[in-house]
This record gives sequence, C-alpha cells and structure tokens, in this order.
Amino acid sequence: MKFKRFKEIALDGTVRQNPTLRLVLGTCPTLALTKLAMNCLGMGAAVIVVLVCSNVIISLLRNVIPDKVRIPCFIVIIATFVTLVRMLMEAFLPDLYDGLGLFLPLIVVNCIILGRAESFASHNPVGESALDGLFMGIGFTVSITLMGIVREVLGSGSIFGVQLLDFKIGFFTNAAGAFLTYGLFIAIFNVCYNAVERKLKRNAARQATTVADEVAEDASALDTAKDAKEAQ
Amino acid sequence: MAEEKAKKPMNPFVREWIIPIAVLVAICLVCGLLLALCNDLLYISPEEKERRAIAKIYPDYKPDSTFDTTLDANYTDAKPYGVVTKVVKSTDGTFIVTAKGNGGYGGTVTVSIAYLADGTIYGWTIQGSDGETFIANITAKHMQTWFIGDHFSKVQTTAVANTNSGKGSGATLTENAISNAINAANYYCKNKLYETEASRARAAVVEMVEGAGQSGYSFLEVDDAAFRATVDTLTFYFEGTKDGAPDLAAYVFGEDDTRKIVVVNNTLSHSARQDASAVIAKSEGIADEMVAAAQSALYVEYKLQSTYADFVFDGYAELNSTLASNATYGTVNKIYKSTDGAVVYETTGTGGFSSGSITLNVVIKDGVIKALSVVSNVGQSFYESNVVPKWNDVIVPLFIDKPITTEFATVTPDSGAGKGTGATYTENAIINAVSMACYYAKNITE
Repeated sequence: MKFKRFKEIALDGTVRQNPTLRLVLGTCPTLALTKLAMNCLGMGAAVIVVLVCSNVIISLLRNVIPDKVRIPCFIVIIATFVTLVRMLMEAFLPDLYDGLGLFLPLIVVNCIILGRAESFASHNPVGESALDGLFMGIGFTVSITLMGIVREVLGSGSIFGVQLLDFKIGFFTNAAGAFLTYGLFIAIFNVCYNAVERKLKRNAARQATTVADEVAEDASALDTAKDAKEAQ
Repeated sequence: MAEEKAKKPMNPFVREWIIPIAVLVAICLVCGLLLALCNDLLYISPEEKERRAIAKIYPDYKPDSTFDTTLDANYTDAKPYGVVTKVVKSTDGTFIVTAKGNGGYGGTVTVSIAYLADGTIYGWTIQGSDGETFIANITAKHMQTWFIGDHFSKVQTTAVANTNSGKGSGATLTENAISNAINAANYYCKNKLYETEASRARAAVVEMVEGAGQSGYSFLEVDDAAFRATVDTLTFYFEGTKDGAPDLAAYVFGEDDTRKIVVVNNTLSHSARQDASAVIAKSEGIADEMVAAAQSALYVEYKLQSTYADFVFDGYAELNSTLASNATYGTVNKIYKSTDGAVVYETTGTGGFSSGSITLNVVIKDGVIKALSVVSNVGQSFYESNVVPKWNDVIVPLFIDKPITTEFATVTPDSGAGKGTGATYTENAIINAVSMACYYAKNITE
C-alpha cells in the first residue's frame, strides 16, 4: 500500500471523517460514558478491537456475502466480536467491565461500526479495511477521552480518578452537561477544521498560481531565445 | 457443447434465496461455534463471581470453612425491610451479608455488606436489582461513603419518594431499597450473627421454655421501645411461635445477672391471662409485680388501642378459610375480639401501586366501621408522601360510621378520579382492605 493511501486513511479516520465530531455517530456511549475519562479509554479500546476485527472479516468475505443479506451478516459478525470482547473483559478486566456496564454490549448497534463495514470494509481490501478500523477507532477514542477529561475535571474535580480540585460543577456530570460539552466540542472542532481546510486550499491555490507563472516565464524566455536565434 | 454447459444460467430461486440464506446460516454457525469455544475457555464459575463480588467490598476476605452458611429462617425475613439471602464469614471474623431490600423504584435491590468483627459496616456494593431504572445514579463514590462505619444496631432511615429527603443521588426510591437491604442485614446480624444482650436474652428465654417442657418454639424480638416503656424495667419482649401450639409472649426484665423472665400464653383473653395457669415459665425469685405486669401488658392491646381506644383483648376468632380470601379484595389475616363486642380485622387489600398491597386493622362493631389504621404496606411508593398527610382528613371519613353493607367503589387510577390524596392505586388498596373486612363480617354473621 502506498504511503499516500495510508495517510489518506489515517487522516480520514482521525480528522476528516472523525466519527464523533464530524460524522456525529456513536452518540449514545459518547454522552453516557464521558463522565469519567478512564471509562472512555476502556470503551475506545473495545471499539478499536471490534472495528478492526469486524472490518478485516467483512473485507475478507466481501465477495462471498450476497447483497441481499449483507446487513444481517455484518451484524452477526460485529455481534460475535462484541461478545468476545465482553467475555475477555469480564474475565481479565472486571472493574472496567463493571464500569462500562450496558454500553459494552451496545457496541453492536454503534453506527460507527456498521457504517464503516457498509461503506468501507465491504468495498476495500483487507489491509486498508484494517487500517480504516484502527484509525476510526483512534479518532473515536481520542474524541471521547478528551470530552471525558473535560467533563470529569469540571464535574468531579478529578482526572482519571485522581482528585485534583476541591470544587465541582455538578451540571457537567448530568445529561444536560453532556449535551452541552458535546455540542461545544463539535463546534470548536469543525471551526478549526474548516479554518485549516481553507488555509490549505489557499496555499494550494497560491502554489498552483506560482507554478503557472513559472511555466509562463519559461515559455516566454524560450520564445525570446528562439526569436534571437532566427534573427541571427 | 462444453461451452453451452458452462454458460447455463443459475436458477433465479437458487441465486436470490438459497445462496444468501446458506451464506447467512453458515456465518451464524461459524460465529456460534467460535463463541461456544471462547465461552468454554473464558468461563467464570459462580464461585469465582462470588469471590470477585466479595473482594470488591472486603479485599482481605478468606473464607472460614468452619462457619455454617445455612441461613436461620427465623431471621431471614426482616419485615418490612427485606430478606437476607446469603451469609459468609471471613477467618478474621468479618461477615458478608447479602440482602434484598424492598421499596425500590421497580422492585428490590440486592446488596452485599461487609460487617467487621465489631459490627460496623466496612463496605457494601449492589449485586443486582429488579427494575431500578435509575440505579446508575448510585456510583462507586456513594458506595465508599454511605453507611460506612455505621454499626448494625443503627436503623438506616429511608428516603421518601419525590421529596428531597434522599442521600443526593436523585434516585430516592433506589436509595430506599438500599437502606432497607442494609436494615434487613442489620436485623440478621443483631439476632443471629453477633452476640448481643438481645441474643443472650433470647437464648435464656428458649432455655427456660424448653425447661418447662415446651421445646420447638422460635422466638423473635418485637423491638418496640414505646411498648417497653409502658412496663417498668422491661428490657426485651419476644413473641414465640410453634406449629400447632399456642403463641407465647416472653418478658425479659433487667440484663445479664439481673435478668428475670416471664413467659405467658399469648392467645388468651385479657381476663383469662390473669390466671396463674397462663404463666408457662418464670425465673426463680422473680418479683410478683413483674409477673403481674407480664400478665397485664398485652402487646396486642398496646398496638390496637392506638386504633380503637376501648379495645380489650378477648382472644382471637378462628378464621373461616373460605371467607378469608377474596379474589377482588384480598385476604383476612387475623381477627381480634374485644370485650366490648368490637372485632378487629387485620386485612390485606390488593390492587396497590406497582402491584403491591396495604394491610389495615379495621374495627367493626354492631355492623358499623368504627376505626381503621395501617399496619404495613408493600411497594406503596406514594404512601408516605401522599396518603399519610391526608389520612385523617380524606381517608378515614370515607369509612367511619358506614355500615358493612356499604359498597365502597374503587377509583380509576391515573384518571384524576381519586379520593383526593393523588395516590390512586394506594387508595384502591385501602378500599379493598376495608371491603375485605366488610365482606368477611357480613358473610360470617349470615
């Protein structure tokens, strides 16, 4: 795979098509779990595993699964991996398992996973699908963890369970605070993204103009030399 | 020829139906087999789950193999709080008690509590719940602060629904159920697990009754401080039951070395109880005043005189098993006779909130309802907040001085057509309890 394609997939997953802040997918765990930053990391890790594994298998079977039953097949595959992750977490990470509670099995119906299966994994090779799953998962994890840090610091005065401050604003631990924080994150992220995109476009346009000018200059110099030679 | 064979199109039915279904079934089978294999490898046994649950609240737990984990059925049902379902003990003397508490939002909450050797709570956690929608409001932080350090003798106060009397989680009814679970566990600790003056007194009562040739009784403490205050130096009051034998009442005066006990037949009427034959057993050298007090201070009179001031116990009426249960109204549990001709029916009315019930004492004399009071309720979340403040002004006048032939119509829940408390389901249960008493009284005299 070329580096360009790798970079494209990486940027899509983490920035351009960030599932949480650009596509606004997977809002249920985003709103419910971002009370505590540690839970966000745990959920993010689970989503990355499920995304990568399900994308790989779906990509492998993309020429085998008929179009008529693709959604049920995708869901069965995703549900299998979610159940495996649940079993592993219950066996080896019981505290995190308890902390995630109902939202762990709800990964099955997380739109990010089914969405990437449908739009990417079922049309692309295995390697690219795995990378797409990885970077989409990283994008999701970073977004909700940042949100979790903000809500935990403001709402509980702690970060990753370590008490930092004496004061807390209870508003940020309830649903209204979750929506407000999420909305602000989406707004800030998209403002920054649009500003960077505009700047990149301007730079690209400027560069294109400079190249065109250089080409025109060279062409003009060549004409002048030709004319001079003919005159001789 | 071969080319023709190769180009033969697939049957559309096979292409459109058989192949997709076959692929789906194959994927399901493979996934199922994979999950079955992983389940075998990662299976967590119930013992391991229990060990983890206990480790959450008491990390130093080491099971004491000499401790008999069989529950004592006399103390597992801690009305009205809940039920104790499991007890284990650590080698360092810590008990882990699991109890289900009543009065939650949708039902019960199961809580495990670690009690240190000195009887104080070290930790607790929620093991499960029954329809508690807001249980997620109870977080690990709450489990690290609420109830910690409290002794099992402390009765935990419960939150009142829809008021601000809770612990601050916002889930007042779930807090209710948790408090009740801890009270149920406390009850078991007090009566069974820890030696207290009450448990020593009970042991002395049982020894005395067995010495009088009446073995097989189980005695439960009636912890009513107001009743004890009516009898001079009374420290404990127990009621003993045994299948096929009359109930007994045990009065314990003083403590330890100064302890004196009187046990009387608790089914006799007030006058019959004054006879010396009513005394089953008594301590040597006990003062006559103490014996007289035990014969005169009937707990049933103390309880019912708050409902009907003229009540003087004249014995229990035998229950007619056919009439005692009615599919519409509920049940009659007990019937107390008074010397003035009044009869008190303890009835349980069905149709309450959350499919619960309410138990009343209904006093009927000369075919007319004279008084009523509440004994207990199950699951009536709005009883305290809505019914109690309006009991005397709204509920009681509906029934007092009405003949037992009156048809008391139930209200239509959630329609606004209630009796005025706002707790329409609880009103229905009350109406049914009164109707049950009238139904029994009407039919038993006919």
